[in-house]
Amino acid sequence: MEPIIQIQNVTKTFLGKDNQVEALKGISLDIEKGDIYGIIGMSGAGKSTLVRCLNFLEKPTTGTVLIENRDLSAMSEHELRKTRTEIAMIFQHFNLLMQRNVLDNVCFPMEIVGVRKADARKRAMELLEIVGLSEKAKSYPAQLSGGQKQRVAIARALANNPKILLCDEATSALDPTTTKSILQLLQQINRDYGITIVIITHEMTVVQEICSHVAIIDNGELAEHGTVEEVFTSPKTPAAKKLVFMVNPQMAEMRSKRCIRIVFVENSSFEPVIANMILECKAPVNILLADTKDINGIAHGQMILQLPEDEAVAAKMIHYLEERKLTVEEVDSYVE
Amino acid sequence: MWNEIVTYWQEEGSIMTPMVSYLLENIWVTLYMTVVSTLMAYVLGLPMGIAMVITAPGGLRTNRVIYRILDFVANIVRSVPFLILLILALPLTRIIVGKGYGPTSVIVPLVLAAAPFIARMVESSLLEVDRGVVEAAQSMGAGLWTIIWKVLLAEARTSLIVGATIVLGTVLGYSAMAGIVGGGGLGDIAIQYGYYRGENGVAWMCVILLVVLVQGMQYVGTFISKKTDKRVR
Repeated sequence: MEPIIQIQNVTKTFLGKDNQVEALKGISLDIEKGDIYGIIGMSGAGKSTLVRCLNFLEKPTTGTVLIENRDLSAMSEHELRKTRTEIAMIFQHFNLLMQRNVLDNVCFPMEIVGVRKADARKRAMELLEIVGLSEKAKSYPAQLSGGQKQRVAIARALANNPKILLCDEATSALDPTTTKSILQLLQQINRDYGITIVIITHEMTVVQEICSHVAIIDNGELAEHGTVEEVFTSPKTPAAKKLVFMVNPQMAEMRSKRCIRIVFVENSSFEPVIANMILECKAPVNILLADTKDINGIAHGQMILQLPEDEAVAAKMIHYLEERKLTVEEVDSYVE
Repeated sequence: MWNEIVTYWQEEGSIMTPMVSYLLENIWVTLYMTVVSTLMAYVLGLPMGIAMVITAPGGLRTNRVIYRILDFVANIVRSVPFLILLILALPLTRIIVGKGYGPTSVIVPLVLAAAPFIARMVESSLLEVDRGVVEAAQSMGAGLWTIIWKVLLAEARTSLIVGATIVLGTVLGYSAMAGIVGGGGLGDIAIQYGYYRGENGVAWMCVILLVVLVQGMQYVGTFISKKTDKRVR
């Protein structure tokens, strides 16, 4: 298939007063039509600069970007602006016009290309229907929640039937539930209208949720790219590994001094007691000592567990274990 | 203050003295000078302020030379005391108005003084507009004029109205110095009759009328700016 976006050896250097920062150090990447392409990296990796190069909001220092084989760097100002109407963009902070109501915000891109006012309003209402905000047409952005503002921004982005939608940290200012619903909306848009979506994010969960492909940007360079499965199952570079393993929240160090000894005498060996307890109480324990064996299907032996600091959770755990007919006793000063 | 006004009325033996009706007439002279000068100053100052924002470093059409010139002009003109500007502008006033005295001739120096001040007010209002919103408009393919008109000016309108109210008050204050060239208006009367002739009652009446005018303008300005601001819930 023909790539819709070709990033060709793009570099970007910002000149400071007495230093220069190489934000992008020669990135080449093809994005195919219909992809949901995640571009992920730590903050400062250069991903926001990269996405701004895709519509030339930032002009690359060297290298170029081709949109459907048309070279953005060879375009006149007028042609570039015309091409930008095919590449919509949504932002972390929504960037809505605060003095216009929702309907007029969605009409704005159509005003730019000269759509007749009545037609623009009709189309805007349809778009608000799609994003599920038709009853908010007359509201102002200040009256909306973050998720609703991003929905307005998405409706606005779709106004001129773009071929590409660029999302710059579009869910980073939203809570997890809202993030999920916005991602579902993006997925639906990709499926229903065949719009190629490029998602810039620092959250691997976002990539996991909806992306088909992912590129990892590290320190201005393309560290790794491929399908999400490939990169997930076998991350090769340190940058990729760091991002992939970050999905599992890092183990907090246990600081609690509260320890218990549990003795197994009559439990089934097949019942994963400790694992179930952890799932039930949603808090980790630290296994300091474990000496158990399976004798004819019955678990025998003992364990010493370090419990979480939270008194309520610790009490719940002890209660859970006692319910399971385990002998539980508190051990003093096992850890200093 | 009140004693002096009451004494004046007692001495004159009437409240509606010729001086009082002269004062009321001059409310219109003051308003004429203030409003016309402010409007004309906006014709110069608004484009100047916009140009400063656009050409500033990091602006939409960065141009160091133009920015430096505008910035310099705005500072120089604002540093000249209005009284001096009034006299310095006399030759220009004679060319434009045809005479160097009267309310209309005060409009020339008032415009000269107010325009750079307005440019600064407009500049600071436009700089308050979120850079991200401008970027969003650019990403939609908006051109420079669309961004100026529909993003910068439209988004900054509340702040621009507040600025215009401040400008009106300042120009009203400047217009009081119009007496130097026989400009007329309340400020002129306060100086001529109140100060030079020591008629304190007249001076105080002028001051009260000026306070009422400024309060009125401020009230209307605040009302309109609040009414048009859609950022509040």
